[in-house]
Amino acid sequence: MSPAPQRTAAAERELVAAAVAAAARRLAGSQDDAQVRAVLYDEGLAWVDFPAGWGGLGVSAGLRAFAAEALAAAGVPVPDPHANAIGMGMAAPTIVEYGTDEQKALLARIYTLETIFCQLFSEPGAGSDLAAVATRAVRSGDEWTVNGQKVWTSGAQNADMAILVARTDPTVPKHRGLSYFLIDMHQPGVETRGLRQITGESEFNEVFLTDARVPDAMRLGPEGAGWQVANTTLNSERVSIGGGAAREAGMIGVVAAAWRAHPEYRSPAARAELMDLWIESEVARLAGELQRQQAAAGRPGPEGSGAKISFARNAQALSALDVRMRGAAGLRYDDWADRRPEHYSMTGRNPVYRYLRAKGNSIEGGTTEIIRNIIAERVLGLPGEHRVDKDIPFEDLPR
Amino acid sequence: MTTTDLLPDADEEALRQAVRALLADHCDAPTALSAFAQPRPDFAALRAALLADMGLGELLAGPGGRDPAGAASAAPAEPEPGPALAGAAAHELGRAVAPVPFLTFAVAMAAVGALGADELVERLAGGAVGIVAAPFDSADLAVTTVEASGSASTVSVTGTITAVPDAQAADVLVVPARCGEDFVLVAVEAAAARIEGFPGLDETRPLADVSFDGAAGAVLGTGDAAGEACEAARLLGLALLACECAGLAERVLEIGLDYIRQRRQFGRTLGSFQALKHRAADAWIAVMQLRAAALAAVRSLSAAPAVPAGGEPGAGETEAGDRAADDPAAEHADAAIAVLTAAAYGKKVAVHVAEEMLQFHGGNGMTWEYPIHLYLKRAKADELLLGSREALERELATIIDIEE
Repeated sequence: MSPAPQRTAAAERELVAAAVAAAARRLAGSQDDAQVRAVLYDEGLAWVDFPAGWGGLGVSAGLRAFAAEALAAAGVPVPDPHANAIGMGMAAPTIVEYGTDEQKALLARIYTLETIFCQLFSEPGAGSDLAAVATRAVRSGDEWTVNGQKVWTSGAQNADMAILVARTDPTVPKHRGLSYFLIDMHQPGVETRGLRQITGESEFNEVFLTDARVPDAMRLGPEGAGWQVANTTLNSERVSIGGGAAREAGMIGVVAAAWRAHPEYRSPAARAELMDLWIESEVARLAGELQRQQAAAGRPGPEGSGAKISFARNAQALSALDVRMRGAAGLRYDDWADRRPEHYSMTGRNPVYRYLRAKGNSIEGGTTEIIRNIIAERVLGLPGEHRVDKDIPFEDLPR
Repeated sequence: MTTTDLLPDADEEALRQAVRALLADHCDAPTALSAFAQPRPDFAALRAALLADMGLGELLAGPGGRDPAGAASAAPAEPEPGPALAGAAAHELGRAVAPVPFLTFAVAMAAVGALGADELVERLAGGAVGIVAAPFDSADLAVTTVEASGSASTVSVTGTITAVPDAQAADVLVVPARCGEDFVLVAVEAAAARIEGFPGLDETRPLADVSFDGAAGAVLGTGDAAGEACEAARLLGLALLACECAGLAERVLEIGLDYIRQRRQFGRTLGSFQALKHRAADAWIAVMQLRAAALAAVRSLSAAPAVPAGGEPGAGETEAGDRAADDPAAEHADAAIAVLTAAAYGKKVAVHVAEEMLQFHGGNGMTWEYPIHLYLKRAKADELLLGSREALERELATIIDIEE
């Protein structure tokens, strides 16, 4: 984030508190979400760590939780953090870092939900190897023409704009030939199709780009710097500083509740397994709590990088036990209809759904294997993977 | 459930650094390995340096004690040395697999302190070593076959306790015993007991059979008070064990990582193989989680009353997180949850990481020369200290209502 003037932690808190007081005064008890969002943006409470004038106050990111608490204490409804999640959590931090003033004007629209974003990164041929994206953007004058296929796009059917990574120069090695765009989703060259998953529902989409257009003014960051810009986006995905989770939050709570309610599910072996997973869930929660407290105190540690691996492993093991411990009753599903859920919960529906959906936890947002590589290399200082493709022009790579 | 503060504390860090520095000077790997020599060194100088000179003994004595030498500079004027400080020391002792009876001594001190036996507390704070005469794997220190008979204050004790950790280092034994229908805790001079050491898996925490044949003892407490003192002592011991395991696992991981960064086969360092990188990453996650859990355990003991008020811990509770913060029984149950979680997890992680790092060492991991086996032996034995992992998980299950 752009460097803030050096202020003491106490001074930063005072700044946030003053903004909260001003917002509460202006809102005068209004509960209208659109009005609340507009005022909070205006007072720098949208993302307190963003620069003043762009939805922030230029204070440390650790104060986001403090701001949310102060708002709640002042009787201001705290906007749903899950609304426009891609826009709020991924597009906005990238725009604020790389954007022109014209692009930064989108920040207010993102926060007020006027412009909903989705993400066009992954492709059928570029999953973990994101730098291998093959979607081409070709420039003519002040405009780019985009052709290719994107996948695993949540919310594409409701999105107004997308953050897009596309190849603008195939003659250089893969990391150097990418550029990053903010593309309009409402145009003839963009076609969105639901992507049916193993749960039966279509939570994600495939997006087909056929001669789609994006003005050069909506290129974010320099031409060829798409990889660096995308990394800002992906790193933001991992920085979430919220309140601490309660004990038995998440999948462990669902399975423990079923265990308590149904003596017929119980066996000594299942209990040993459940207790092991209860402890695993609790220590993962405590590690998250430690990380949250450190981040809030302005001393973030590397602990967060392990959180997703533990979360995925525990969710998978617990949901697997949940199906098995119920006997044949655990096999019952509600229906296999192709749904397009607007809202979904990984702890919702039924044991079969939870078991199947949890399989994605170790894949989406960075596979467990890739995260292990990152921990081994960046935290533990072990050598990097052998990369045979890093110096070869993208167009010469076997694909 | 109250949220435990998990941020670093200046006093804990100062003590941690002081203990680490002392161990670097006086307890390197060859020193720890010498615990396996015949005859076994008694490590009296190391023990004195830590417990008496550095003041860890006084630290364990509680608020009455002087602040430990290592924390003196950072400590406030009126330090309240608590489980969290002891946890910082235990973490470092675990890192060094130090052959020092700190944990076992802490358990004895907690029991004696809880009963307000000030004279004995003072003696132990001054450098005498006290150990609870209970089996290594005892999950309930009040379970005993030792018989006591005599007056209300002075008794004679008879019986045998097998596999008592650190008994040979003891000056005083705190003996759980039955006196007719009553449970009593009795202080017996080690000189009045027959203490027979025997070779065990982990000589850094050596075992001995202890027997009494009409030995004279002073009654420290009886009945519920003595039982509650045992429970408080056991919980402290388990929390410190979690810290020791965290230190052990952290250090053995460092040793394993150093090794795979240097060792070359097939023209590459071992650490460049993804099969090992992924296992190293998983080990790191486990160690990081264990550090958080162990810290939460000792911090929650610092916050909670030593004994449950009004009944069994967690009695009648159905939701682990659903209690008032000002309810002492609930706070005790919260502390018990934190301690049992950390101890059960520590037992699992320490042995797992030690086994993984031994495998990272290949053939060298099987040699007497490389220190990995010291960590493996301590970790494997620790699976049983103060109750097996399974026993702790069953106990935890009852508190959080995961009944069979």
